[in-house]
Amino acid sequence: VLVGDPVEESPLIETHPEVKEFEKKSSEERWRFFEKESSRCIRCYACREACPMCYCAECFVDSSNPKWMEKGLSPQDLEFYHIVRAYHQTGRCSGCGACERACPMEIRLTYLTQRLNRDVKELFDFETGIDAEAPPPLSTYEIEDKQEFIK
Amino acid sequence: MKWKLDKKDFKPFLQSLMVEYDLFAPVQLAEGVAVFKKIDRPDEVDFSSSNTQKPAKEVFFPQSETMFRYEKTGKQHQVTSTEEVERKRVILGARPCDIQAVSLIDQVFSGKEYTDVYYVNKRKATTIIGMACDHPLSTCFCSSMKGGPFHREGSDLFLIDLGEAYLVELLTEKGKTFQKNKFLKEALAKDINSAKEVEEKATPKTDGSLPVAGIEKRLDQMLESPFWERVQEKCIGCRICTYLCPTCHCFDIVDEALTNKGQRVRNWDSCLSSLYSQETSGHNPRPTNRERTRQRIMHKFNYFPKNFDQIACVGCGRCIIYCPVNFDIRQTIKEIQNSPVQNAK
Repeated sequence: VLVGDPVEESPLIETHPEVKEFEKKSSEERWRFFEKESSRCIRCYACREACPMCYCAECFVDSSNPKWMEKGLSPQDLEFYHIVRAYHQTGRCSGCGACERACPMEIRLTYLTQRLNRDVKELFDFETGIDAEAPPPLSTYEIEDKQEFIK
Repeated sequence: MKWKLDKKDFKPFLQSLMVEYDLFAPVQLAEGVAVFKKIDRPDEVDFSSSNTQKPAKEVFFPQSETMFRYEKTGKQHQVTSTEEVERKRVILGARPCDIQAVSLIDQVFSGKEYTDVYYVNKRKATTIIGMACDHPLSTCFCSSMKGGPFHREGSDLFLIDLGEAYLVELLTEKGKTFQKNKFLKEALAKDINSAKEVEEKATPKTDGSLPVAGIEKRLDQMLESPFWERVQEKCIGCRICTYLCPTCHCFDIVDEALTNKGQRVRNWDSCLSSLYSQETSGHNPRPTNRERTRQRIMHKFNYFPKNFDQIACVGCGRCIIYCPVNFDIRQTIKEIQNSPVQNAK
């Protein structure tokens, strides 16, 4: 039963204003922003624990063999954690914002996954959470896949 | 005798401290996000947050601390100590809850059994300037934990905000050396009276009614209680409550090694992490959230009191404010105290 007039669907991924704003900045400005956000990290991993898409049996930060990173607060370790976590979310982040809400240090980094999701939309025409049957592009393949995006 | 520091003299006062001391004070990292940091300029000090996210323990027990460095060149080995504290330090603006917590973890790091040189050296070099809490939050329950928003114990100097000035109390020998500071003036009777008014207004705002007496004995009988099943249900196993806790003091020691050099580092650790109790064999004696959340509560309210006659909680409320799933330790305390008494085994 349909009550009332159908409303127009909003094109979800294309309308993230913060990503558009962010892209206007120079790469130095973008790096400074990322550096500042990640520098507040206390490695409580609340973002990871609150994330519905973080379900690895062993997170790369906890692995000691191989050891991917140290356990302290050096900028490179904090930056590495947040970059890799964002990349692990490529085409999977549903944009629920649980990571930012959980963060006690108010770190704002979901723009990274939003941007990656837009890449996935452009490359594979896939949007997270729209079609439960569609396999996420980064965890499937077809023989006819074009390889142009691998450079 | 009590003293007064006019706010117009506050920055010059800080500047005068910085001649002699490394000054640690609340600094805003982002809107509403504050930590204690060593400051370079008086302008950086920011008291706009009621309390910092990370507690003042970090000045004595940093989240990540190098214990020594080593290097091998040819057949030579060189080890460099990082134990020494080069300059005297001042912590400015720590709240009474954080200061009370420091005196609790003193018992671990400089108690009868162990002396932790990294902690003790910093502790000895530091003068604590406490700041009365004139706006306690709804999550504050220091008054239930033998503290209070004007609890002075542990402070060398104690500041009370009077609006245009601070009332300054010099409480210890270390504190009394500040008498010489030219920015401190003798306080008048009206200043002392208005400080009392601030105190009387603030004190009832913190919850002093939590029933903590006897909680240690009750927990003695609760190790296998089904209660922990319920407590753990909503915990997502992050480390916020332990890292932001002013009394949590667990750490992990690791070697950060390159081919011919490296450093030994200790980092805060958390009993809520599964790695914390993971053994080399792969066996984990605390395999689920049930054992881990139980450990957190047991350590604060049973094991620590057994070792040191005090509960390892000061009621700062950070674990309540920052928990992503609204775990409220006050509720847990009440439930423990109201739980049916089982037969001790």
